[in-house]
Amino acid sequence: MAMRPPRLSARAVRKSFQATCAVDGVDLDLHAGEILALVGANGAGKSTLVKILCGAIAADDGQIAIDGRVVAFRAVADALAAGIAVAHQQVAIIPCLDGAENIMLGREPRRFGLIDQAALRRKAQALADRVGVAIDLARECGTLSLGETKILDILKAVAHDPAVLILDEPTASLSLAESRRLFTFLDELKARGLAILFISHHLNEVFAHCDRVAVLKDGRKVFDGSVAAATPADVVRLMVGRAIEDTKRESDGAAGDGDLALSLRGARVGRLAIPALDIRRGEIVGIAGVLGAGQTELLERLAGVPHGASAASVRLPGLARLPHSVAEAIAVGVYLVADNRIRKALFPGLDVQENLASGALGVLSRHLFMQPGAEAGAARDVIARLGIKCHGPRQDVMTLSGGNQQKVAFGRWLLRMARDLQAPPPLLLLDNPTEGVDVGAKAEIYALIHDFARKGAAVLVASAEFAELLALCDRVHCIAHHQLGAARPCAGLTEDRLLLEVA
Amino acid sequence: MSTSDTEVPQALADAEGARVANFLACYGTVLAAVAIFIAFSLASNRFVSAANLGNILVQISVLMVVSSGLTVAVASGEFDLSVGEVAGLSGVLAAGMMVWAKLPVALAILAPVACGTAIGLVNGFLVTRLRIPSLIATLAMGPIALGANYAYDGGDSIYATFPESFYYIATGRLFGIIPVPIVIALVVVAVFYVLLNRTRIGRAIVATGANIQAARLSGIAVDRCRVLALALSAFGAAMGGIMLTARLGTGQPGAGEPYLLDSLTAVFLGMTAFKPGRATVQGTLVGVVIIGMLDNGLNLLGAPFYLQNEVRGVVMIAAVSLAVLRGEIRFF
Amino acid sequence: MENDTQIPDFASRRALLQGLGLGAAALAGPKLAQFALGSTPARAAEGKPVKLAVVAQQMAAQSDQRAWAGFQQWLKTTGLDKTWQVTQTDAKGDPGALVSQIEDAITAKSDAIMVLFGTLTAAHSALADLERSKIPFFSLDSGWQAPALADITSNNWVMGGAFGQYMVERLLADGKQKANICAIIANFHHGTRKRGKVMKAILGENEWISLKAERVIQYQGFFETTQNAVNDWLTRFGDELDAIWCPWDEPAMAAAEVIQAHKLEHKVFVVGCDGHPTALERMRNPDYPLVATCAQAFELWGAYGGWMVNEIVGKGRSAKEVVPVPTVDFPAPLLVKGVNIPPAGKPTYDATDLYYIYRDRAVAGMKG
Repeated sequence: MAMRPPRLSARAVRKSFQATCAVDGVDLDLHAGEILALVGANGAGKSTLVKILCGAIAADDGQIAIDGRVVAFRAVADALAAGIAVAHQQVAIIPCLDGAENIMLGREPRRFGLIDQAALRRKAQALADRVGVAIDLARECGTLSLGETKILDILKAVAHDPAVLILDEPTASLSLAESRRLFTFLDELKARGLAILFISHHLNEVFAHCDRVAVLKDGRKVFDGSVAAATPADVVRLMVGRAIEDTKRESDGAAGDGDLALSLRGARVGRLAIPALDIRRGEIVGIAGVLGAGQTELLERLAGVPHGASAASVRLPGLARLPHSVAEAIAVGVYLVADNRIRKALFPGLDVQENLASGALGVLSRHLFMQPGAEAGAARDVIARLGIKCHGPRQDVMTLSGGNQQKVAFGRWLLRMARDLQAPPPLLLLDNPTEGVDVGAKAEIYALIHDFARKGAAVLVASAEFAELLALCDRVHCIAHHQLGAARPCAGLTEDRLLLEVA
Repeated sequence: MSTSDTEVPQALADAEGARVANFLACYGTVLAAVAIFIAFSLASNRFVSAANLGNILVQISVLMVVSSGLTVAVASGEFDLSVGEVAGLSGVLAAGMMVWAKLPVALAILAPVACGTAIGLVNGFLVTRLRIPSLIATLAMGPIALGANYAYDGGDSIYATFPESFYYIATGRLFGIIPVPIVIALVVVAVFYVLLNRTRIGRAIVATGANIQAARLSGIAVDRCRVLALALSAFGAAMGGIMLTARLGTGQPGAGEPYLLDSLTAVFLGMTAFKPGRATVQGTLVGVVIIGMLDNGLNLLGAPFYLQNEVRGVVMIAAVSLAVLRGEIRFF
Repeated sequence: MENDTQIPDFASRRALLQGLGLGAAALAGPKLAQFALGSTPARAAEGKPVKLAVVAQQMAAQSDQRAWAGFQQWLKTTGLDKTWQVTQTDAKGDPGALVSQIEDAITAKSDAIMVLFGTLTAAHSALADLERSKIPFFSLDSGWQAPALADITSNNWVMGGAFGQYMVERLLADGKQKANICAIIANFHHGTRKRGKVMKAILGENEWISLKAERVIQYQGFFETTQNAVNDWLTRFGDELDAIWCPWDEPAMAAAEVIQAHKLEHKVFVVGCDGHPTALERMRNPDYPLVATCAQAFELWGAYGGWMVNEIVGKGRSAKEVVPVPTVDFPAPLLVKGVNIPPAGKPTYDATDLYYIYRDRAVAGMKG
């Protein structure tokens, strides 16, 4: 049997940025009809390697071959012509165009110099049919779900008829159900002989759906083998260089005995009905739901954002109604760590200290003037307590890694609680608290949340990552059919059970 | 690792390069100002004299006041395209109140400043309540202010001799040495600097400009910040307009207009200094000084008049290209 | 519909006007050499070299261009261009910039400063500085203000009277018992403002003429503003309108074009002022609606400004002796279409005024 050369092979690829060697002599083979997972902590070199493979940046050293032929890419277009297509983490779908127009964007068939709409639709539909996508391509993409847009985004890459498809964290923003649908689609592509390189933080999906897994650490490949030859625990150890202790919350018995921090009866926020929601001090309560099920609006409403809502009875400390403003919510100790930190929680262009102080301007000022000493001191304390890795409090927050940015988003409220001596006991609202955060930082953030609860905070977490809820919470509510279900203890629950609940 | 021997010096060189790039990104515009200063000093023996440096500062004092106000608006994430017309309106109002209404000087200064600030408040109302993007709201407010200007003066300049105390704003000297317009400009710059950097509301304004959604979720009253920022911007413009009238000695209906583009230039130049991508009062000051030095220095050298425009454009491109050395910057 | 074709491309028109103006100024050159105001090259060179700063309010304007061309022609003809150090700046219409540029000229320790077409009443700080610096200061058509030694200009009251009264006479000649006119008003310049006041005074004596509408314009975008205003008037009043009064020739040409586009050139006429070379070129066409203008001698002003600087600063003559009164008014002959428009290529500043034609006929008759 003649051994066919791999579709894509990289040999001794190396790339340095200034002082750091981002990719340090990596070999990688990718065969037709397989899904190779590429995993690693943030900063391990995954993104750099992907950029080299797709021609966005040039390697300092090493070579890349397609079907045994050595190639050199000077631009993304070269790689695309050679058969390497990429679907980036950020969805490149334009909301005001429909599915067919998006798929054919930039390669519209033309007739007499004008776009041939009929041919465009025919081609797009043929492609969708070929790989079994049943999304209505005539619908404007802004009206599709996140998962559907992601599939269209991948379809757009597939439209180039590539030999190799690179998917950078395709499931990062998807709910579990949407992820499963995506994998069915990927299996179809695989069956058609595509070689797929799959980058992900989610080890369970890697082990469930990929054929091989390659682990990067500090720019080097430390493992490459069949998923059957390793366990998720092995991979985590390889990624972070140490074993992650099981982060499963030990119910220490105290949880659930504290005073009520929040009690909601007969409430409605947007389309979501909330028959009953209770959180006690020291307790961590989870909300499981597909993305967009209304959990973000619920959390934001509790934090004082004026979404349309009603409630038969509300009990917050010192408030018998929903807060009218964010400032009022903060005054009664309700703090929101929003989803999508770049959009809702961080101040790009401002430094770490200014970001940390942003939730506590009143506390850090006297007679309208900021107290620079108090501000710097408080920021230093938070940086030390959370172990935020930065050159100093004056570093631009956008230059931090994702995990450290998320710690800053948490740290803003930590600073306020630490400095505001009159602060009431807190109710923390966490929306997707570990979105886009690597495994190591994730464990640190879990520990941080547990620590908050241990010190008497009430915590409400919404997440699309159900393993996270199971690891964090005492009790969990599921959202199904626009309704928040009854709470159930996490002990004994599995991801699959939760998935069935929210489906 | 056998290759590390050769890699380490390379890595160090790269780190050095990164430091240089970072330094240039933050201080390139300041260095450019220093370079312009040195170049003119060498080229013209009249440039570095107390008289001429004072001269430059007097010339830029109006622009400094207008630009400082605009900086606050830009820092809050809003544009203010009405500053030129607000300056023009407050200038003719001050002239008319002294010449026609025979009001005392203090009142003839306060009333136009109040009127200008009110226009800023209306801008703020349009932006926060009616949710009109500030670019459009203030673009529309410009012609409204200009129309009020023409309605007040019939498109004619207001010529007459003002009370001597009014000219003190433009030609007076504090302690007999320091020109009064410089003092006014420096006080305004200092007040706006302290406001943006040392006060709670200033920090809230900057946070609103950096990320309005995050600011809202931090309990910051973002709408109040935006209204205040636009009011302060108009306040600066109105102050500048009055200083301009004192300098010209007449109410000129069209005198404020050039200040829109000049102050935008100064603010954008300033956004390339110190904290790239952020509107800061200290940065704007550097921008204003660069504009002032270029105009004055080229005049002293007897350069052809079109060179002023050319050089200003080139300096702006150079400043921004230095500022992006550190990575892409987002102005808006 | 028709409007589109009536509005010509403003930018290209401006460029054309400038080109023609410069061409006319260049043609006028040799004349200026003879003129030279008694300063033969040999005599001019007697004085010491002068460092002169020229500050223009708006170099894009015809008047600035022509005066500057006249000055340079004088400088070259006298040979002083070899010794004088002349710098020129342009405030581009911004009064604040004009003040700054005068101040810069003071700091640069110029021997003399000359402002072209500025508005000195709007240059208070600069005037104060000039006073203190004792630098001899001259201006062209800037409205005299102390400490200027001289402001060279035309007598705008006289000019306003000349072309304003001609408009009245023309309406009478057309057999009008009642007449309707519209006027473009420009208050931003002392000259155009005075002409407007004279026009109103004339209308006060001629109540059979009614001013149906007026439009105040600013310098910025005046050409287009005038076109639009005249277009609206013609639409509104149609052939009830008899004349349009314009403060100077450029808006007058804008008005004339719109009248032609409406094909009303035999119904509605225009009067203007300045003797703009392009305007005169067009007035040689018998169908052109612009019928009268006063030809200001901008080139002469520039040359005379140079002469005064040389006499007072270069040769050290007494300013009082050279400039007995601070405002130096040059004659501006009234030129009427089909009567005394000078032939193409001939400069306008030595054209014969309409009334001097009458006088010359009479004088010739008296002398036999």
